[in-house]
Amino acid sequence: MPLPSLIADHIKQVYVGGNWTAVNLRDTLEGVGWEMATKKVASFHSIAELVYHMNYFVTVVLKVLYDEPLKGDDAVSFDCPPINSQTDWKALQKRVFEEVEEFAVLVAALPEEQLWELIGDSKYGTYYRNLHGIIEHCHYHLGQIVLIKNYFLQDR
Amino acid sequence: MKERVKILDHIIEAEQAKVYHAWTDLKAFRQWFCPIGFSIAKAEMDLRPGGFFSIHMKSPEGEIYPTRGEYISLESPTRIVYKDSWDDDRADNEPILTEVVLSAVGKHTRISLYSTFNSEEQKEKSLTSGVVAGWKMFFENLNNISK
Repeated sequence: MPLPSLIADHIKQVYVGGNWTAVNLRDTLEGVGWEMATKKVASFHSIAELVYHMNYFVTVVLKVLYDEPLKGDDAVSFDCPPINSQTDWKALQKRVFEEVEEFAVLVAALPEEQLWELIGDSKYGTYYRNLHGIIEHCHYHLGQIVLIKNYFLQDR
Repeated sequence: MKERVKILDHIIEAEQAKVYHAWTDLKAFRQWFCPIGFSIAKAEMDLRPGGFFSIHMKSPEGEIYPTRGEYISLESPTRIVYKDSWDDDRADNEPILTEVVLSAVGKHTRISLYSTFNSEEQKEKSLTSGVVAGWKMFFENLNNISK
């Protein structure tokens, strides 16, 4: 299988399953309602903020795959839109899962040689580094979401 | 700048697995993947991500319209992604990325077709060349063999 297709599979797997850890975002968010998603534990980010943040970098790189410049800002990457209802929460999830499907298609369609090209400024490194960075980043924050969810479930 | 455009939605009166099979089984594929009145003179498929395909559509007058492409993603029974272009020496023949999304609608299947164009010019050229009407003819054939 071409390397871009393998990377696209890894991206999808952290969101919808099939990965080595057997933990994925879709299953983890099962049973998480909007109230749990927006509730804070100590000074940690809420589940909704983490979901938004995980996907923030997908959104940034998706634009690059549509030939737009790389434009991201860590300072706003947790700025989840207000979630005041289950409808808001479902809308965020819908957008996130639709966007990652679109992202995976474009990643799989990349010519393999493009993986070794710089994605923007040299400080950001190659497409390969950024795509793998997104996968690592998603797994890292997914672990946090799992812990926060477990904390709330034990608290009941 | 690249742009992803939904080309059309179309309902096929057959279950999702059958429609996926019609896209990925060479014998079934040859029965429908051409405009009404045309036939398939040649079709080859290497069904795997990175695998190539080649299709020669033949008009009633005997003219051959060759296309060649590469499978990007095959997810039975929901999604097929490929890049293709004309397999001849015409100008402005950059491959277009196409996503075929199959969704179950009861016992029928909705095909949602998306194209990602590489430029505004490519989009305009494609959308004004009767691409939507062409796909509708393909899907009419598909519907007829799938019922």
